[in-house]
Amino acid sequence: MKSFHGLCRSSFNPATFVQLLNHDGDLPVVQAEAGEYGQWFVPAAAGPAADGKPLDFLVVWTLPEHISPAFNRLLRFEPATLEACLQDVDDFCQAILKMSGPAPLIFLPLWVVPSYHRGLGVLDLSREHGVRRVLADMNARLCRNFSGSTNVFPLNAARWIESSGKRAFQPKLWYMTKNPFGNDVYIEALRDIKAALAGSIGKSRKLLVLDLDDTLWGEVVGEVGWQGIRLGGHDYIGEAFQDFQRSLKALKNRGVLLAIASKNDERVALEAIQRHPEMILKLEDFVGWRINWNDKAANIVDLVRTLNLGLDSVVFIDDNEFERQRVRNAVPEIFVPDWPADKTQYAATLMGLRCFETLQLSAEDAARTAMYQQENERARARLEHGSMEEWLAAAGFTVTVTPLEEVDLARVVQLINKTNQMNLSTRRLTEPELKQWQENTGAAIWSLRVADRYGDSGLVGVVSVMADTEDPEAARIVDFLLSCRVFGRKIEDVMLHLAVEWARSRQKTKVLATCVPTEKNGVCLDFWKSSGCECRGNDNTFSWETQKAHALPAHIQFQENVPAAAVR
Amino acid sequence: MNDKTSILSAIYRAIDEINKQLPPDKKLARDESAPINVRALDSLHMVNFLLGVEEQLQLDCGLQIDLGASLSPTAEVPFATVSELAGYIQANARNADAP
Repeated sequence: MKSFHGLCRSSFNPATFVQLLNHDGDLPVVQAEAGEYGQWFVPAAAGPAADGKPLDFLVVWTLPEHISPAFNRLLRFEPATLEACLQDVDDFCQAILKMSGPAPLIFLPLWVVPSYHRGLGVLDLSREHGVRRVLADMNARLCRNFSGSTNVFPLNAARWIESSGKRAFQPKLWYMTKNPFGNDVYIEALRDIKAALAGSIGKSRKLLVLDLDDTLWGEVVGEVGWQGIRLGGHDYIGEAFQDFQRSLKALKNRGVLLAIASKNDERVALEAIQRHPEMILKLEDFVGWRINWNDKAANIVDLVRTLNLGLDSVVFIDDNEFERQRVRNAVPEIFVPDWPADKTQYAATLMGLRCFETLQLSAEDAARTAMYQQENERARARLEHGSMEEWLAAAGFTVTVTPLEEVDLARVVQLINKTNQMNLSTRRLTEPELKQWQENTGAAIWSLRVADRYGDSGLVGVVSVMADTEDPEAARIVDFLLSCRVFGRKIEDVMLHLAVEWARSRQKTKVLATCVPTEKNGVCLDFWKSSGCECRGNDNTFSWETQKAHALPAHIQFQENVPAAAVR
Repeated sequence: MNDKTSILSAIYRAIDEINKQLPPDKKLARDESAPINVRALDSLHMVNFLLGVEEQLQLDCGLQIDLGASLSPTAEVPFATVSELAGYIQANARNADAP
């Protein structure tokens, strides 16, 4: 996994935080530097760090009394207005925006005051000048100022403080080292930041595979029947299982896919899901299942293969330690969290997982489960048709191609950062970086939407092509990526067609594409090897002579959109 | 609870904590002879470590002791190993208990 280079600027001494961040054993590896104490805003030095390496991220962690003179007065019970405090917040946000150029991702822990500071006591929240009331307004203002930002992320430091308890604030540390927080606060912070960094390069998990007995419900359904399982009702364990299912449904609504791997009789287990009145999760919430007496690790691998996902996008939850260990040993790429024996801790443990972190949310995320179910229908229909060509013709594919539009930017960047398999270059970019790259190179970028008679797969492909920087007669494909949901339907040929037509319209004699091999993009290399392009040299560079058009597949209806607001 | 075994146990817990901040080749050993000096720990790590020991002594042994006072800018740190630190804590705990 990529290692990240960061800088922490702070109004206090950030050395302890930075050392914990650098020496933490979990992935991704981070190498961060501590800015000078008190120098939270040094615009000239906010660019590349001392060793000249470009920064991947910046943490700007400040105390509210250092940022806002008005709030500092308020802490001393001297006259200060809320308006003055909010103006200080706006000034701070402006300064952050000026810093955001050189550092793609900026993390801003929200402001806190020590738990022992009681402000105006019982009046603190009901009076206009209450310390926590004003601080809540300041934090809300900061969040609003960066609402929808794609590279500045306020972080909830209050959660770190709560989970650290009495060790959160240590006055002696402050007086001796100008560090206000105990290590537990920093460890919570660095875990959140590392999860966000992993999410920024598409390393968030996409599929959650669940056991059934004593995981989704209490008891063994094969023994007690669906009427006897513990779920809901006047039973604290039953309520805990129901709450766990609610949390799973919330994850599904966010775009995480759910599936089942259980040692059970399939008919009995499915009957429980379909007939038990207190089930929160319905059969349609799952994109697939393997319910049988086979080895769970083998079952999960098979299930994941049918979903066209990578094993490293999978999380497996099982109450049984033996099964957890078996899956960990057999498939180390799968994340198998330790799971509590206490059923009342299930929902909390699930909600505390950081492995589903993403930096963008798109309409495709919310509809992902429905799309996979459509995919299951396609697979069934595929079996009914004799040949692949017959099935492709019957499915009625429409591919809609649109030059990159502002409205699609978040989804396009999400695809760039999450797609691992059909991905030519596997480069990772933020929204500002993609826009800047397009502006600098004059590249054409298209998004592709795919629909068929079974449903709309949404925006699933991206192609970008530019004039080659070395060969003036050549065009070069830079991004060529497609969601695993639509592999094998010759959408890849539409993408190559687009690039070839772009090159022909600019009198380029060839189109070049270099496949940068990774552990996961073998399917992409296979496509290029069978694409009809000539393979040149030893670096997986492929070439298409543009005197010959690249035909669109006959079964695809092709639509080209002219956007209202293309990104330029 | 201020016997040497309990005090060493608290020190070792503090070593585990400070090791999270140290690169692999600088990590302190959980050993009575492990050095605790300016070569092993820079000033910030030394402060963090001693405050960690204070915290663990309070939690594990109910012992309140101010190790920050041992970091006088004008005098040498009065211990150079884990064992000597444990001895220093025991002596100071006895003094604090004295009438």
